[in-house]
Amino acid sequence: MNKMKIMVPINNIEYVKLYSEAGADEFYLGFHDEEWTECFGCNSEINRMSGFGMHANRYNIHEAIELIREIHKYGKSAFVTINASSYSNEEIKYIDSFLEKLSEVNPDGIIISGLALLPSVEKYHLKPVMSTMAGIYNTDILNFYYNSGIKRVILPRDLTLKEITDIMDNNKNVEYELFLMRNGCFFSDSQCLGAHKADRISTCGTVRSDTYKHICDDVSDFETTRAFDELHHASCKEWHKFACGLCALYRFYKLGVEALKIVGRADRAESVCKDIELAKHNIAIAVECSDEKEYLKKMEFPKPNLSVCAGGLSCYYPEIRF
Amino acid sequence: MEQEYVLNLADIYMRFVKQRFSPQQIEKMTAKNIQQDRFCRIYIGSYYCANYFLIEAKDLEKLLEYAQNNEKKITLVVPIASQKNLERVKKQVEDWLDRWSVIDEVTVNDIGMYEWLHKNYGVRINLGRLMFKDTRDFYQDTIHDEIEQPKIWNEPFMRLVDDRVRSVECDCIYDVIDAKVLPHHVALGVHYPYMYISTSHICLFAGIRKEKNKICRPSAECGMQCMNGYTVYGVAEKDFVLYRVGKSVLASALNTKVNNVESIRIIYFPLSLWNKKEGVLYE
Repeated sequence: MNKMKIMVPINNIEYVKLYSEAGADEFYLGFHDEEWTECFGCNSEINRMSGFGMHANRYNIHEAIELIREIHKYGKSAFVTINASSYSNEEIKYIDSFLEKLSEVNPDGIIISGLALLPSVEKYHLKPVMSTMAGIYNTDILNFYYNSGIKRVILPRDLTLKEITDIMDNNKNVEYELFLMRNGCFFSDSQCLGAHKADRISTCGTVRSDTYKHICDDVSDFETTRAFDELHHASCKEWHKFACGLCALYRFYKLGVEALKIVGRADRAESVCKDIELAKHNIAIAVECSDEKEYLKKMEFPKPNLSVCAGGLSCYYPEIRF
Repeated sequence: MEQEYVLNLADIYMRFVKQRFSPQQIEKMTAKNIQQDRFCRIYIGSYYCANYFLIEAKDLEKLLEYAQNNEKKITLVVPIASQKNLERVKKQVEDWLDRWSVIDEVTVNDIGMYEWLHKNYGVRINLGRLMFKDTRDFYQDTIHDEIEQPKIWNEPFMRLVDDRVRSVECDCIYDVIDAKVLPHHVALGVHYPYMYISTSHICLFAGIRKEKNKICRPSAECGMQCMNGYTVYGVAEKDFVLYRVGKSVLASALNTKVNNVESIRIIYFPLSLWNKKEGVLYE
């Protein structure tokens, strides 16, 4: 059985050592580019997190290359995200120049959102990874990308464990990366097309607000209104306040998952580090267990576990325990 | 330039069924709402939800008969099916296409369904709104006001637009859309009066009256609770509103001007008629 790798976000070269020693195996990073912004405007995205500026993409391409070199010095893998939901023809041509520069340091993968960039990625002998932005929700979509030359994919957050299992069983020639910890999102990464920008209220932020009105048939019925308000409160204030999939680790190990993603390029390093250590520790436990029941008894929970785990609203894969 | 209004009953037909409207009544009141006489084409199915797509199937026969008897054509809209529902969705599509010649087009929203239809059926295909992946902003000030040709209409995407493709759909997210890149035989399907913002395979409404630890699950079974109500979100100091209808999040469409296209379909979604009741067609 393959060892599952821990994939972590990196936005500061100073954390490479810290995360490596905590147990990270793979890093994913993005970059910004001032000339790109001059050419295409401040709302044009190089990657999904471009709207958060340097908070999520601290480095330019040259600095990103140095970051990749640093990651490789520690014997770890580096993946670069170029995964905005769409690119114009001119942007695609521009990205070719990024890929040419990146090829000097041979990153371990380029995370893309569709086939538009595939010719350029292959031109420079780089490995394409299909992002969650591609929305690989079923085997037909997966096999389309596989037949196009994609051998590693990141499956979406809003799939059940059974669906993940069925997809993986259908095509064992692909490497699969799954979400493990942090920053759960209600909406589909691939289909959430509202602008993700630091200076705008997001779609998810808006629907989590208390300013709403439910238009329903029984608006005067107390029980109906209460039921909806309770649901709204739970989904907005409690669901995925902290997202965790550690209970599924044994199952992922048996499935042969390639990598487990810890999300949060813009998050605090200390917090990410703790999650890396916890994931590493639980992978080690899973490998030694003879069945899932044993793993679920022995695993270490995030702390403080009661507020995170109680109620099942912080689970990436709640069907394990609830 | 040819322009036609089509009636988009995808994701809302079951609401009108619940309110006890006949297909004829639905057409009449929605046509009157936008000062049209009638619709030559009706969209059925779902852009967002396989549950809706599958549950609705048994109630659609009446509408399909009505269309067949009144010289209307039907477009079947197929959502992105998650793995759980994929085979059932495909089987339903097969069933509709085999039994109802009035369905002369299928709108697809993902590359997997596009490929499957292409290989297995000769039906015309529309590239649906979920394939129109330019980012958009519900603050009503366009974030790409220098753009006229949508980014997603790049060369790799346009390779999908072959002789089988009848229309390419878009949302009104720009002040201007220049459609010169579309081939002459392809109509531009413009959604109106709402722009699509987001969706998920997790449905909020499916969690109504469920135990708290069972809410917000992907692809959860449901009883179509979404047809009992929808939610409106707004911020008082900002002039925008979001609508959560089933699994979709919508905002008001911009007043987009379309250039360089020979044929436009305005795909009209009658959400404003949600509260109409039987016997009260016009207010």
